[in-house]
Amino acid sequence: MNQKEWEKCYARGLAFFGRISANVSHEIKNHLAVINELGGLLQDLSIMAQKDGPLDPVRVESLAGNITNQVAQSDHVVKAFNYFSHSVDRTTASVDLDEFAQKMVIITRRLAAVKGVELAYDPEKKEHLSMVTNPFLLEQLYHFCLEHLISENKSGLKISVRTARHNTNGKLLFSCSEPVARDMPEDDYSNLLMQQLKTRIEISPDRKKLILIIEQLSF
Amino acid sequence: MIILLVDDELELVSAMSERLNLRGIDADYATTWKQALKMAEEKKYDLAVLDVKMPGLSGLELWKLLKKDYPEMKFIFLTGHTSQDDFKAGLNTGHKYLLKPISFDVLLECINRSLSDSPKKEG
Repeated sequence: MNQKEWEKCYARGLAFFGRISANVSHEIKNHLAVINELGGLLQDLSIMAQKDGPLDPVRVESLAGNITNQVAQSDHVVKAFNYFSHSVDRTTASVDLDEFAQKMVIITRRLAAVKGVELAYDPEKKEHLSMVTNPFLLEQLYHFCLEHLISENKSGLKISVRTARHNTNGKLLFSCSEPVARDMPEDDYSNLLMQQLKTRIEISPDRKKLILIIEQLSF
Repeated sequence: MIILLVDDELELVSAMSERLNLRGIDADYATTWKQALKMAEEKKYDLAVLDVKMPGLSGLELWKLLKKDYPEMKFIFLTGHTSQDDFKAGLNTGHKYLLKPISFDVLLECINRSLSDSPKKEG
């Protein structure tokens, strides 16, 4: 990579990091807001019970369970965000592609949701694939593919992400419930990323699948 | 006083609605913009509390639709975002703009003030 390309990578990478961070902090704030209201409601009910009689234990159990669930969901997001944050630690690292897909889906689910798109990780076809790559650049390519699919604002669209092996290559498959996978736009930066990571993008003939093919799997 | 709460987080709006009801304030909730528009057609709401970021149509876009059809309706915005652009967009509506997680006392105060304020000039 020459100096100009590094500069571009730095600027675009920083913007990408900021976008993901803002999205994740927004999601955590939402969980905190729910916990705040559920805690407040428990408090209201206990104040009322002091005047009007006993609290319904089933109701209390349900509200407490909802709070625990919200904490677990936020923890899930924070763990995935921590994985993402550490991806800038090294320019090359061993990446478990399956773990990568899971974490990326968690931290980008909200980005898709605000466009009315349901994003899910597909664990049914789980395959352990590992590779040595630049994880932060790969995350940007994942984001580039996702943004492309959700950019049409197709409300009700469902996208599932899974990994697969093809000979010595790894694949990240974005399967869509509708044919939204148009040809990728010409973009200097994504071309640079694909060149650096030895990846290419293919669209299935029915336009329901976008496939990011990554060369150089390590076994 | 009848309030419509709109946020895609069901547990958030249902808890808020129940807390308002416990204080004698009639509050319904919707988790989608479509549901909110339908409910506004069926009942006359004095005030709507709208989440800014929602799937499909944002709270600001929903506000534009509601204020066009229901000019008397007052609004309060909720958001988890604190970016300058979002904050300005919220302030430009001329309505109260609260950051999540909200203090319930502050929400109550905003509701009371919004409903007692004279109509504001909206940008």
